[in-house]
Amino acid sequence: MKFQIPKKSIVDTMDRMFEVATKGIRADFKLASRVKIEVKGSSVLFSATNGHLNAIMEVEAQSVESEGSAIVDAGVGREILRTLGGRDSDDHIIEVEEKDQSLRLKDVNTTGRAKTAKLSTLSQDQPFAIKVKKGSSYTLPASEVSSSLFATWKYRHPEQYEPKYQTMCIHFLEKETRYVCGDGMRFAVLSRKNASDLNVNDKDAGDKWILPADQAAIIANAISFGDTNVTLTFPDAKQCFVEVPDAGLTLHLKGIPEIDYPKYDNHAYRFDAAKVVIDVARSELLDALALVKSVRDKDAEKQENAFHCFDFHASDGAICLEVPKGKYQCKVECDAEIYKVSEDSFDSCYSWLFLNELAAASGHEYIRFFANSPEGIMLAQPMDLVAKDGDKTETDDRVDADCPAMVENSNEPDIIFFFSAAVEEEDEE
Amino acid sequence: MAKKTKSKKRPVFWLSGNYYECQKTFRSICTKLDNPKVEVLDCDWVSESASADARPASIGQIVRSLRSRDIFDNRSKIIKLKGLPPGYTELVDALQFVNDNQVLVIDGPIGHRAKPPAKQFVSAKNSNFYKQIKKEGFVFEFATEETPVKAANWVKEVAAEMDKKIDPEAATLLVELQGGDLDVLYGRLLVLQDYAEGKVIKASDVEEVCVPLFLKSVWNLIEGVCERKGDSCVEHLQKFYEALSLETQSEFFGEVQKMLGAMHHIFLFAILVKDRIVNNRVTSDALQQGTAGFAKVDIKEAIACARQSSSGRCEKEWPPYFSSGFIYQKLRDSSFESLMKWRKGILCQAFREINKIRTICRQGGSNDMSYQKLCLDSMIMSICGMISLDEAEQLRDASFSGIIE
Repeated sequence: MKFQIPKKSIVDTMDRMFEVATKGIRADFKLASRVKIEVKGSSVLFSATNGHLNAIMEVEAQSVESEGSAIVDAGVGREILRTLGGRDSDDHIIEVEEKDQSLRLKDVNTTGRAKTAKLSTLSQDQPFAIKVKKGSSYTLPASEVSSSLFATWKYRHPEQYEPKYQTMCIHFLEKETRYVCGDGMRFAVLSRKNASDLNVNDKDAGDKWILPADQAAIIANAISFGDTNVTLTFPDAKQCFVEVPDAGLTLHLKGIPEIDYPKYDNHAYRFDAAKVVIDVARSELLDALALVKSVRDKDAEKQENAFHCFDFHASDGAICLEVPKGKYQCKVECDAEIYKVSEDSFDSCYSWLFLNELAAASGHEYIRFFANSPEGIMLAQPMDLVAKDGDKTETDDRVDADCPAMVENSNEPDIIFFFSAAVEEEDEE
Repeated sequence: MAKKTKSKKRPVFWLSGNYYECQKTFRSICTKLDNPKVEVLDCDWVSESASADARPASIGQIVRSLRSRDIFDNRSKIIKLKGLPPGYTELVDALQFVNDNQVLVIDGPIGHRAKPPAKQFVSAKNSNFYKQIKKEGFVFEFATEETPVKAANWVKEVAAEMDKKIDPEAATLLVELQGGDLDVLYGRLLVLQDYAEGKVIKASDVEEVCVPLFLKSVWNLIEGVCERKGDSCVEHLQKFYEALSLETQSEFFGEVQKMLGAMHHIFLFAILVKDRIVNNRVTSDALQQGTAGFAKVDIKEAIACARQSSSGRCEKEWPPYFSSGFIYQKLRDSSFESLMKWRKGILCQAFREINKIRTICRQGGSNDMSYQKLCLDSMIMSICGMISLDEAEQLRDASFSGIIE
C-alpha cells in the first residue's frame, strides 16, 4: 500500500476516527483504539469502531501507487500525523507507505532535512461493513445536529444509574427538532426550527428516537462539518445510521436500549402553571452563583458529584440565594423583575449545579424562571427580552402576566430547563 | 416554604449479619413503603484499577441521591448502600435529608475492610455516623454464627417461614454437617427446599444433599475400619480417591489430613474410654467418665494464666476435648461398639499407625499424591489386619522418594 494525501485531509479524518475508536468503548470490547486504513482505487477508506459505533470515512487520495490495507493505533497514528511537517504544514502532502509490517509516513513537501516517521502496524482489528438500511430518515444541517447533540448530551446522569437517564432523546417534529437529555432531576430541552418541514411519521406528536448520551457525543464530534447535511436513519429503535454523503462519512450505531423516554413535554412547556415569573440578568446570576459555589464545604467538594444546595427566595424586586447553614455560609441578592401570576413571592431550595448549568448554557442576557410550586418543578429559559417600543411592550403570551416577550431568532436554538427542588432537611421540633 | 416536622426516629436502617434476616427486614421496610423505588449503591472497596462503572459510590453520589427527586417517578425512594463508602463518616450530615420519602438502608457489616494488603476489619461502632443512626434510626445486628442448638432452632424457624418445615433430627444433622454459619445453612436450606420431595425436609434429604461424596466415603471407611472389614475399607478408600480425582492436589492433601484427623479423634476417644467399658457395652457413664477432665487446653494461655495467679496454677475452665454431641453420637453408633471390642493393645497400635501416617503425609510425602495414597492403603490394610505393620512399613519404604526433614 502506497499513497499520497493532503495532510489536512488525513489529519481531519484521523481526528474523527480517533473519536470513534477511543471513546464510549463497549465493556467487553478488546479491539478498540485501532484505525484501519485501506486503499481502493483512488480512494482511502478509514474505519474504526468502539464496539457500539462503527465508522467508515472515504477520502480521495492525491495519488495512489499501490492498493492494500494496514491497521494502526488510533492515538499514536493521529499524534504522528498531526505533528509531522511542523506547525504550518496543513497544505503539505503526506506520503503513506506500508513496508515490513510498519507504516512509513513522509512529509513530501519538505526539502533538505528529512521529516519521516515509522508506525508499527497491528495484526488484528474488528472487521465490519456498513450497509445502510431503510427506515425513518431525517436530513438536517450537520453543524446544527452536531452542536445540538454536543450541547445536550452532558445533562445525562453522571453515574451508572437508570438506563433511561444515560440516554438522550431526539424528537423530530415537522417544524422543529428537539434534543432532550436529563438525569431524572434536571432536564434540558434544546429546540431548533427546521429550515424546511421534516417528513415525520406522526405529524402531530412527532417521532422520538433514543441515543445513548455518550455515543451521541461521539457522533456530534464525528459529524462536525461546516456547510453540509447529515441524514439520520432509524431502521428500528435499536440502531441508527448517520450519513454525511459530502464528506464520505457513514456511522452505524448498534445496541441502542429499547426504553420509553420520559414524557418530557408534560413539564417542559407548562408555562401556564407558573405562579410567579422571575427575570434575572444572567451575568448577575452567574456572579451570585460564584459566591454560592465558594462556600461549598471543602471536604464535600473533594467528593465527586457533591450536591451543593442553596435556598432561593424571590420577592420585592430581588432574588436572594442563601446558604444559611454549614461550615461556610453566604447570602447574596440580585435585582430581578418579579411578575405576579397568582403569588407575590417564591421560596424553595435548589442544587447549585442545576442553576449554574442553566446560567452557563447560553449567551442570552436574561434568565426567566417560571416558578410553579416550591416542591414542584421549576421551568427556566435563557432569553433576550424585546425592548420597549415607546409605551408599548410586547408581552410573553405564554403566561398570564405582563412580562416582556422574548426575542425570537430562528437561527438560534432555544433551550429550556426544568428541574426539581432539592430535598430539604427536616426542622428540629 | 413549609418544612416538614421532624418525628423522633428517622427511617434510616443499618442491617448487618446473616443474609436471610437482613433480606427479611429489608423486605418488610419495602412493604411498609408500598412499592418504593430502590436505588442500590455499591460502596465496597474495589481495586483502584477498576473501570469507572465498577467503582464504589462516593459520598457525593449518596448525598445527591438523598437530596434529589426524580421528576418522572414520585414513588418513595429507598437508597440501599451495600457496604460503607470510603469517608462514610461525612455522611452524618446527610442523615438530615432522610425522611419518609427518602429512606436510607445500610446493608453490610458495621465497619469495613481495610485497604489491601491490610486484611483487618475496621469497626465503625465508634464513629459518629453509627452512633447517630443508633440514636435516630434503627440498627439491626443479626447473628452470623450460632451454637449448634441455636443454629438448629434457627434452621427450623427459617424452614417454616419458607413453607417447608424441617424435622428436628434433620436440622440437627444439617448443623452437624455444615457448622453454625447461618449463611451457609441458609444456602443449604434453599437447596433442600427444592430438593426434598415430601412436605417436610427429612434427615435422609439432608444426607443426600449436604454430604459430599468424599465425606460419605470417609464415613463408610471409618465404619469399616471400626468393624475391621478390610475389603469394604479398600473399596471405600478407592471411592474417596475417585471423589477427589477432580480436585486440585492441595485440596486432596487437605482432605486426607481431615480424614486422618477424624480417625485420630475416634481412636483417641476409644483408647480413653476402653478401660471404662464393662462387657464391651458402650454406656453413657463409661463415655463421660473416660473423657472427664480431658480438655482443649491452650498451652500458651495456660502458662500465662498460671503466671498471673497467686497459686501458680491456672484456674481457667477449658472446654471439653470431645463435644457432648460427639459423645452422644458415639453412644448410638454401632460401629463404635465394634471398635470397643478390640483389644487395647491393638487399639494403641492402630492409633500409633494413624499418627505416623499423619506425620508422613504432612512432611515427607506432602507433595506426592501417589505416595500419600500408598501410605493410606498400607495403613488401612495393616489396621484391618490384612498385612502386618512391618509389611506396611516395607511397602512405604520401597516407594518413598521424598525428603524427611
